[in-house]
Amino acid sequence: MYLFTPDAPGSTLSRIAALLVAVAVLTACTTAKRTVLPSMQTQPLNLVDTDAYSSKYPDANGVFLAFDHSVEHVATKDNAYGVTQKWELYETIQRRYVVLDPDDEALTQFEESIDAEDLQTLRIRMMRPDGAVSRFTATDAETVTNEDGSQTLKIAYPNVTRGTVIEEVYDVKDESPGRFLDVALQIRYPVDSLRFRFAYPDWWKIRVKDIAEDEPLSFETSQDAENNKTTIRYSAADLPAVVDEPYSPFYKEMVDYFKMEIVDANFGNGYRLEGFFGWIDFGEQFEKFAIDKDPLFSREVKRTTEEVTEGATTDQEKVTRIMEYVTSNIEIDARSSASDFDDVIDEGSGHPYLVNGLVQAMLTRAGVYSSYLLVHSASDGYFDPEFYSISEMYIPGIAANVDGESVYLFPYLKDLPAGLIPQALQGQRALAIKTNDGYASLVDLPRRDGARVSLAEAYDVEISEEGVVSVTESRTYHGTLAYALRKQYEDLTEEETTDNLKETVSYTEGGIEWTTHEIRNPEAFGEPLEVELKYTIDNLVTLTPEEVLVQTSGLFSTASGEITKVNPNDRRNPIDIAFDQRQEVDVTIRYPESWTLTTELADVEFENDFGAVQSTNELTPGQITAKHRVSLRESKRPASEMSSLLDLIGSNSKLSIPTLVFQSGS
Amino acid sequence: MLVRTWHATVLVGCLFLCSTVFPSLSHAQDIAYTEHVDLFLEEKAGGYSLRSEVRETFTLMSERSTDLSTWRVAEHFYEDVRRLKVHVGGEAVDTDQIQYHQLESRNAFLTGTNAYTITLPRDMKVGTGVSISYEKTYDAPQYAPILQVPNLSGTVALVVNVHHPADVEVGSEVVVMDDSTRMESERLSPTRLQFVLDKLQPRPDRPFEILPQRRAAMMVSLKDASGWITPSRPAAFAGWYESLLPTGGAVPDSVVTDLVDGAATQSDTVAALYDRMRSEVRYLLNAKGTGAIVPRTPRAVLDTGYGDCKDKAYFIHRTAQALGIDVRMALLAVGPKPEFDAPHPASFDHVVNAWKVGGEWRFFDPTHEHVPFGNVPASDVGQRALVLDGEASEFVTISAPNEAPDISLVLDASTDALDRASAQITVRNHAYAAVREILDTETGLRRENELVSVFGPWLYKMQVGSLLVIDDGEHTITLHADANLSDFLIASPTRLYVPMTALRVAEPAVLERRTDAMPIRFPSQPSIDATLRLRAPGHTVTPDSLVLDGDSASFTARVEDRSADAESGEPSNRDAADALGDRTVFSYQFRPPKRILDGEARAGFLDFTDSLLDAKRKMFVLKPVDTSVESDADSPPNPDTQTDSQDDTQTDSNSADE
Repeated sequence: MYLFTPDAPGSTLSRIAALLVAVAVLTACTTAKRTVLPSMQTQPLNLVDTDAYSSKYPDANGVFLAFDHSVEHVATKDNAYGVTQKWELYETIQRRYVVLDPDDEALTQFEESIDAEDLQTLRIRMMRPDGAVSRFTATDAETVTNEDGSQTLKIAYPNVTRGTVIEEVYDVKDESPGRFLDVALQIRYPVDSLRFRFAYPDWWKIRVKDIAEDEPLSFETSQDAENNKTTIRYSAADLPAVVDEPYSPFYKEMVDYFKMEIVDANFGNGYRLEGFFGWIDFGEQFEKFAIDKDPLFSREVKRTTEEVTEGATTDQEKVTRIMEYVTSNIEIDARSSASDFDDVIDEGSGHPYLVNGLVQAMLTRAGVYSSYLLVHSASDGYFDPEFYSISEMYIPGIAANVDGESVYLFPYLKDLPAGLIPQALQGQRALAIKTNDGYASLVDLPRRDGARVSLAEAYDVEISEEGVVSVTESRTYHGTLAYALRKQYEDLTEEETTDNLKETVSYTEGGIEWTTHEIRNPEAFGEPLEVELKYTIDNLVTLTPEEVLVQTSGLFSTASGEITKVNPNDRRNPIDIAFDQRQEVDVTIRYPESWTLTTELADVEFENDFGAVQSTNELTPGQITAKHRVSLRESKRPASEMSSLLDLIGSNSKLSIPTLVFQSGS
Repeated sequence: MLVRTWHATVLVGCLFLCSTVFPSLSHAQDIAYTEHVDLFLEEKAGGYSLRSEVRETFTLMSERSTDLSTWRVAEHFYEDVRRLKVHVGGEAVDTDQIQYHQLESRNAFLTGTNAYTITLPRDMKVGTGVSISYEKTYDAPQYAPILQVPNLSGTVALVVNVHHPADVEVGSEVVVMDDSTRMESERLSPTRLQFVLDKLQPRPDRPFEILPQRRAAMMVSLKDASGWITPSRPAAFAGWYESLLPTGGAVPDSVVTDLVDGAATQSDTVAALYDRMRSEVRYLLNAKGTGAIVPRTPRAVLDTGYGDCKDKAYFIHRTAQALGIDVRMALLAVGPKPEFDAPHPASFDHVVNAWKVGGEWRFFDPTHEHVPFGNVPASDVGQRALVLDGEASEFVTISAPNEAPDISLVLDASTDALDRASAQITVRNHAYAAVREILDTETGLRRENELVSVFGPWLYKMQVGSLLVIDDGEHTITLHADANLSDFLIASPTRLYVPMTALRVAEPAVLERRTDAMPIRFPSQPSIDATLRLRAPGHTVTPDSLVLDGDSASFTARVEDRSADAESGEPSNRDAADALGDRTVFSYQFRPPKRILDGEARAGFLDFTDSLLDAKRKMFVLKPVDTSVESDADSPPNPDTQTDSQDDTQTDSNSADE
């Protein structure tokens, strides 16, 4: 199903963004009629060679033989009073598929989120391998009302077996269309033949987003003067299934999609829907919505800023104070009724764009140079600089100039430390709508995680003569990892935190006696998060008269025999490592000096285009000091280089410490 | 925490009936909650009617609890919710903040349970009180509800008043999750009996609880002079439930003949029906209305090619009976449900078949596509099933059909090539079902990874891979695998050490249950026999063993000196020794606990787990041949371990360590 929202479905920000656009629906007498109608299913339905498809797509539970998706606007213009007003949208789906695995419920039942009253037609026919044909219509469908008030139509297909071919045809009418359309052109099943059509009144102007730099979506356009229609046609063949793999780019960075915006739709009689002419125009409109919201003659923002920043002498201090004030006193609430900054301060809540505006206004009042940013998200694919739409730039942020450096702030993310940039926003384009000295243009956010080391671990291990192992396990989380963990812990009671911490202990083979466990700085969001666990283990060490064995399995290496193999040749998606990452593990093992280590510990050093692993071991009497480092570089590489990445991340096991054997010296 | 289910894939869920549906409590941990229920049993022509008046009240006790955004009142197919009123801080909540909808169920295509979801105001503060009142009418008194008390960190209380005709006898059963919780009852009048569960103190959720996230559950039983009003005895339940079953819709004789074509015996016939159901009828649960508990007719199942657990079990029951074979339906709970002595419609979530052979009930589960006849899935084993057999209906615990180990593993290794060992793995029972499913549904590397996930998690530092089926039988599958034991065996300059705990079957998290005495619901584990045949040239081993024998689980590890066998006059011993050549044989055996552990079995199992975890450091020792005599003298058996026996666990080891 296409997404008829300007951006990510369900996001608070998208709902807010939608508020920006007012839609006028008026009467008309020139009509762009409907041209795409659902199939009457008069063509014969044929069985296919299922074994051939299984051979071609061994992992697929089914293959779409044909997938035809159409979206059509029907509207009128040159209205005359007394004529029925009209602007409707029809979505028509016609798809035919073969079932390879009848246990895949998505293929053996019709289940679509459609309000029953919007459904125009539903025709389904199904041919089983024995040639028997069944047909279904809307009367066969069960209607389920969901918790959000929407409805789902369901039909369970009878007697589906491998090789059954099903053809589903339906169309849906939407009487409150929007101006955006975003349609996925690749799905989680293979598709033999995909066709997409978008038809709209020929007096309208639309803008279609490019899917990559200098790469517009490839489609054909035709005119139908009789029906006053312009139709865009896209087709593709032999599309593989979209798969979910680690280190993959975002979905829209990998596949084709059709995203468009209506930029000029005249409904006559002076009513016209218009898009933005450029980013400056966009910025001017947006400024009225969320930036110029300091009421005339009001001193509330000024007074609050002065109170909050009183005594602060540096820009850094002012930024910190203002962010602390907003974090502690203002709730981000998409449903807030606050309409200006005074309301936000008085009510203690505001929608994210308004709160972002308040922070920028306070920074300005405090004399800190800053820009109001609307940032593109990598999850929305390529940023098309000529697609002037809120749907491409809806993440609010601020670039504050502190000592000549840009510090990025995202007040809508409660407690996110200044300088940290969410992964999907790193390296992305942003529109700096307003600075202290006028309008700015597109800028690029840096690509970094705010700290070079994502996780540093230190294990201080002491082994007694009696074989009891005392461990002090210290972990320091940096960057967005620290932020995410703090958010996870912030609502927990002390008891819940304790349980949670105990579950994070690296040793999982029992025999643990706890000494202490603590999060040292749970609320210091601007600092790395430090966790320290102290415990003893009494089942790791085997003492014999001559030798001592220290099993590290479960502590520094896996204890399980389950090893998952990966075939690099199976990799489908390109490899995307979003930013430099580094993990450090320092291990100090102290033992009685009368013991002599007989196990050889090998150093490891390996490097390739994706990063490096390194392990060094230093032996002194009564002590082993091991340092393990794994680093990944920001990379965008083709799938064919997966084996190189596996060389690196698959070598983690080489960094483990083996079972240690000591001569006990007696 | 080491928590594993040992199936390779998640088995198909099967819903018999949704029981009480709680609201989302993710933000509701810190609320003081009280539920008052007035249950009215009233006489009417030809019987009784049942209705209730419910008042739920709660107070927000912490800042995080103010994030609670919704509350839900469920309406099952057999009840009708009316006069729902919500007050927050004394103010009535608008009706537009209450959405009536169908309740989604992960397993059900269509569910019969609806809900009123109340959107709570966003400006609630700590101390805000919420009151929700409503009435329910029930289709029949047999649906008298099970009342469950959530495990919230605030004070929780449940007060139930049963209003009834004076000649009706009222009973109750309660399942509590605290040692200290007691339900009080008081006769307030000849027609009113009050039950109170209160003064419930906060406690954290514990692992392996029989009723997670619940504090208690109670049910009411009603009886008059003519018998049970609620179906609170097996025979009464069977009588009532069987009266709901559709009587028409039988499968035509010609189709039945075709279904069992070629079956020579009764067993063949039942197996044929079973195979058709499991392999040709795909799982789909349509639980709309009474479909939540009443199966569709056999004819409907046949016509549509789909059905749920009760559809399949009923099909077999009816069709087998038509053929003169008395196959029964059996109701059980595979998910956590309060286990009362009395049956209740909401106590079950699954239906299987039972067939009496030689006086013993044999169970089979046609919902599971990859489980062959004569076997039952792991999720059923150890569960209590209500076999519907008229007046003879009874609860029966489903046992594993085959005493042989679920997994038999034979490893051949040589100390000069530990990374090139080999393994032969034979699976039976539910391990067979898991492997069968993987072989039927997966290919290539995914198949191998899935197969490894069946065995690998149970092996300590031993890796298996490149699995190949060498024998695919009706009830056993044998695979060959490459194995790597280089991390498992520990070599020192003078010794070879072989861990005594070669199987990772101990679950450390269960030891958290040392602090309470409530029953433990333990996840399914396979029984495993493992043998390591190790060629260790120039080494000899001292016979040794580890025996941990708890009431409900056992683990043994043993190595024997076979030189005596080879020298023995018994030809069979000599042959066996010759067949093994110069290999030393280490044997391991694990037998898992029962699913529900209580009382002494519970205590014994905790001791067993403790001992097994402690035994991680115990080693079999192989010494160079020429120094063995001297070394034996150096490391005599440790007296500590030989006396390390406890009430339910005996340990016998003279291994390294200690």
